[in-house]
Amino acid sequence: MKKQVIVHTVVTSQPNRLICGGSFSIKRIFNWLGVFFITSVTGNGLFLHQVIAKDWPEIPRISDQVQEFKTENGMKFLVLNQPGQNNVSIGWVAKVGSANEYPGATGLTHMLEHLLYHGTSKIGVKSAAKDYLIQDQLDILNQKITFNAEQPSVQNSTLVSTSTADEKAFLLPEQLNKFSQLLREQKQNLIINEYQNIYRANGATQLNTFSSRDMLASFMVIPEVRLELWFWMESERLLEPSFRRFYTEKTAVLEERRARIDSHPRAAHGEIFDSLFWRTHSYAWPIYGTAGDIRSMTRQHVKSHFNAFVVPKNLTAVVVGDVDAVAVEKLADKYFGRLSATEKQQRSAGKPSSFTGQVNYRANTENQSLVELRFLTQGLDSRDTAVLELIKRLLDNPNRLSERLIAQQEWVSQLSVEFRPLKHAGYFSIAAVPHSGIAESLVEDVLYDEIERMRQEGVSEVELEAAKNQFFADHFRELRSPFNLMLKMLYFEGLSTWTYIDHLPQHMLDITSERILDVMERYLLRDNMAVMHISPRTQKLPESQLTVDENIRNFSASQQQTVLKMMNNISGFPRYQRHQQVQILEKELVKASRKRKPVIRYVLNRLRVHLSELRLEEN
Amino acid sequence: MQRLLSLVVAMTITACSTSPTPVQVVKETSAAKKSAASIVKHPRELRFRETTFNLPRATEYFYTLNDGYSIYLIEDRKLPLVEVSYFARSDIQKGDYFITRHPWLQQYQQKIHQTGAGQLTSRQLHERLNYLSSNLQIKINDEYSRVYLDTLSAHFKESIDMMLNLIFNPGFSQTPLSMNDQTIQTTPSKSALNELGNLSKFTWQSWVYPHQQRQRLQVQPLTTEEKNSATLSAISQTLFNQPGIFVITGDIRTEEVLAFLNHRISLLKRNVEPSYTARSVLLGNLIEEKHNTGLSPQFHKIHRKDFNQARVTLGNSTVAQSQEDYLALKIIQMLLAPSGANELINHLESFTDSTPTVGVSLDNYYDTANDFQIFLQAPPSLLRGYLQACYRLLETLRKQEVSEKDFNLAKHNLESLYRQRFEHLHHLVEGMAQGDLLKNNAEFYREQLQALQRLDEDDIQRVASKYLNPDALKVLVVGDLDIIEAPIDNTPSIEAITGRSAPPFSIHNDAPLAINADLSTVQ
Repeated sequence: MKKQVIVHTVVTSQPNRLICGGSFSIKRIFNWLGVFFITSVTGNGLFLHQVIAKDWPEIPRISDQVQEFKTENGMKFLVLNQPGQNNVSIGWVAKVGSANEYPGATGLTHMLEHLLYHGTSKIGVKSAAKDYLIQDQLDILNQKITFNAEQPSVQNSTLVSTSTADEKAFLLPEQLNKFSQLLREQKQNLIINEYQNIYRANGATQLNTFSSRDMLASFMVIPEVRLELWFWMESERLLEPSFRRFYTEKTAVLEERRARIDSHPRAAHGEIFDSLFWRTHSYAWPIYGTAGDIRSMTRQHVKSHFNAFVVPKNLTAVVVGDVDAVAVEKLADKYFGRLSATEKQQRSAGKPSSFTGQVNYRANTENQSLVELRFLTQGLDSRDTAVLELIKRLLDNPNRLSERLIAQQEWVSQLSVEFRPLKHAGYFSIAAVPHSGIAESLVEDVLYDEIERMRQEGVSEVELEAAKNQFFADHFRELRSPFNLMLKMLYFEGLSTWTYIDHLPQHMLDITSERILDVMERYLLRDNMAVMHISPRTQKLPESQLTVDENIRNFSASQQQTVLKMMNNISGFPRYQRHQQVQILEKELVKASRKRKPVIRYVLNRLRVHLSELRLEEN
Repeated sequence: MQRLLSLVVAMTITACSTSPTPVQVVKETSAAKKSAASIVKHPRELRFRETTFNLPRATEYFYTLNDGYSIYLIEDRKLPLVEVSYFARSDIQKGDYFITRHPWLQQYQQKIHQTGAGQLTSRQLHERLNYLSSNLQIKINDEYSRVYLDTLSAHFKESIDMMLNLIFNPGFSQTPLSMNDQTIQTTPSKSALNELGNLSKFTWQSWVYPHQQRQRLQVQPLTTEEKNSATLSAISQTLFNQPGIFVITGDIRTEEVLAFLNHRISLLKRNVEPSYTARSVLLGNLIEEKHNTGLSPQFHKIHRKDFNQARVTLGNSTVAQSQEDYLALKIIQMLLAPSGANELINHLESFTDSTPTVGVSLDNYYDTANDFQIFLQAPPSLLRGYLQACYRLLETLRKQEVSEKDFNLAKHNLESLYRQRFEHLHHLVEGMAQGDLLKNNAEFYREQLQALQRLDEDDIQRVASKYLNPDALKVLVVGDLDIIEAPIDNTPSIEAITGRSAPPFSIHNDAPLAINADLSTVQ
């Protein structure tokens, strides 16, 4: 049997030649069928160490297919011709993000993301002159309102209905009336959503913009025949953005922040943990900006930020589709050549300082428990990036963390391993959601133990191959979609250079188990780690005890004692955690011995009755 | 003092009016100077070649295997990847079991690979798939089951072998599906407690399947063995009862794949034990109530004080994708929410300075009624106003003919979505296979594009009147009801809707809406 498996190994190691290469023949088909049959017969005895595919398929080099050029003012264009596509995936990235902001003026890049949709003097407005006038009036009035709001006699207004008391303190009724009137006048002069509607009318889809710590990017998919529209529209909005509807967008951004961060206990603590992890580095600022900074932000702040950073030498466009690079270059010169080449001094973030010892953050919320171990790493440019990417996949392997914490011990319900290389630095994170009653410190220790175990025992060849398989499969899957390919190039360019799309797979090929251990020794250490524990807050609901019924008499004395003990334990849990006990008992029931099963089943049934009664009480 | 300040402001404003904010000064490059003159003033002046988009004919890729199985095959050697889909008609909505109306069971089915396949145990199967980096998924909906494999071509042979074993020879009896217990036991009350701040899952479940919560509680006393038995029956119903359709695209050779599949299917079919196709009495007893797709108005409220935000979902059950009115509903979805619900947000924004989170969705079941839903998330104090504004917008759609401009815009957008959807080769062929499977018409999407051209503005009004009548909409509100239902005197710009389109909370609702309540009784 083993011999047959070896035959299979040989065939598997030369897959392309078998499936794709050469001409079709009956003999080959029978060979192939034989291989499948053997696989099926050997089924149960087929273990990982028996089949190792070491010959990787040829990795397509994107760099060989991309044509790169710059316009005279320094804007970079990357063109990847993919014949046969109806659509072109296209976008631009500006190397500016929250890392280029500073305390007191955070959230500027994210605000740009919102404002860039509101058109130019030619798009989105009936009379540009009138709009500029209103914008200036709004700015002046806003300044006055802000000044007056600092006076102690200011009363709350009801007009901005989403405001908290704090926000309302900035507003005065009479000035607000004027302010609202101006906003209405401005709105009447606008052609709402004209920017998006022009694209939509021309068949563009996937229209989106994002901002992050290091970049601001905008992208879409547009029919190939309408490519020139993208050049007109994007060059126009980078040339002459209106920043109109600033005050409406400010409210929208505050709402967004409130909904996604402030209303979400885990996200709110995540933001604090981020600031602890990055400490004085500018990655510590929230991408949304702090609520205070958003409120005090002015249109002038945003304009200055735009003029300093969204300039040609900071911009790269990526075009993927059935396009001719020469034609694209002509369009680029014609449209983006209009942008000013003027350079302004830019604030740049350096590398964060290294940790001097473990950092701990503890919080209580209404949420589930959470444990996160986060290690400081280097930016995308580092030679260690590919290795850390592979370590992430190794730890994520079902035989490592999840085997110990989910399959064996059943201590956690969710596990995630993440590696995020950024521009100036990066982080490696392992997070787990412990089951109720499992101490966060215990889970932290086990997570770190598993890292330690990998460091001590090393990584087997099979594990390494599996992790590489996963990396290459994911890499090819990304290349399959022109849209994803464009996004990936934008992303790498935003962080460093787009050629990482080829560098990473190349680096990956050379990684050995020794190299993995070396990188682990340098990054995955307690002294280079920040730890967050989120524990559920005990609810102050009136609690009641679980009770027994007459069926308990059917049990022996010792079983009755066990039942009472279990029920006492469960009664000690707050109400919301008792629901979780149902799951735990169900799992126990599956594994329990024949003698213990009736006891667990009884407690489970009583618990369900108890929970139904609690629900009735709540109603 | 105040007058003085006003005067200063007025003077400043006057000064600004004569010199509005200057346009950013541009230092033109030589290239720009050459071309600037040829740039049109507005994009509407740009001229383009005609956009052509034709779906290829399904017959070009179609083959028949032994035993009545069909296959769509396309060779594409650009990347060393292969995608495989297997479709089998489930017809759950027409049968006795109503499996997907009970998501706990659906989740079971979709984790069928946790039971192992062929001779491989669950663990071996997982390890092997993980090593090969092959994705193997099962999705079961009301109409069809889809088993999907995405693998490196180097691992295609072994991976498809595991996939076939999973379809024809799953290892149900080996593992008691214990991994799934937690999923099944996650009741909405628990998920609500655990997922504070994330209402979507909670409300969605409550809304789409009004009976679901009760069914979940009924299910809990079942033992794992009983659940397995139910699951077995359900899976056998959906996967094994009739020949399905394969779709394979990527780095393959057509002749080799055809020969292999013919051989392999004939071997594996014999491995299907009769017990797998036996109907389970348990399941029949368990799921006795059919899904209510009636149009009667239902207003549900869930009082929760622990969220800063509040959420409302309103919607209706409409028609299947294969029916005439579906495309008009799709256009209505485009009109309301072309991209990120812009139109709706804009409409709602006109009432306040705030921007709610908004979404409009329409399912795409082929011959099952699809749900049309609008959801809004906003601070509780604004929710009611937004909801009323939303009602007004729907009323406008029903009573006024949509403008030709808006109509064409939505139509173009819909066409683009089709184009986008079928850009990926595998999705294109999957579309054909689904059409083939569900309606015996592989040309369905080609016909849809033609039908779209025949649609006019009257259709929109007619369909809106039929399905988006406020009296027929079901509404679920989650949030702090003390604030949501407070008087709205402070927001005079919102008009109250009277008559038959009354605001939802004017309807008295005695029945408490709770996790274990039978929602179907709430009228």
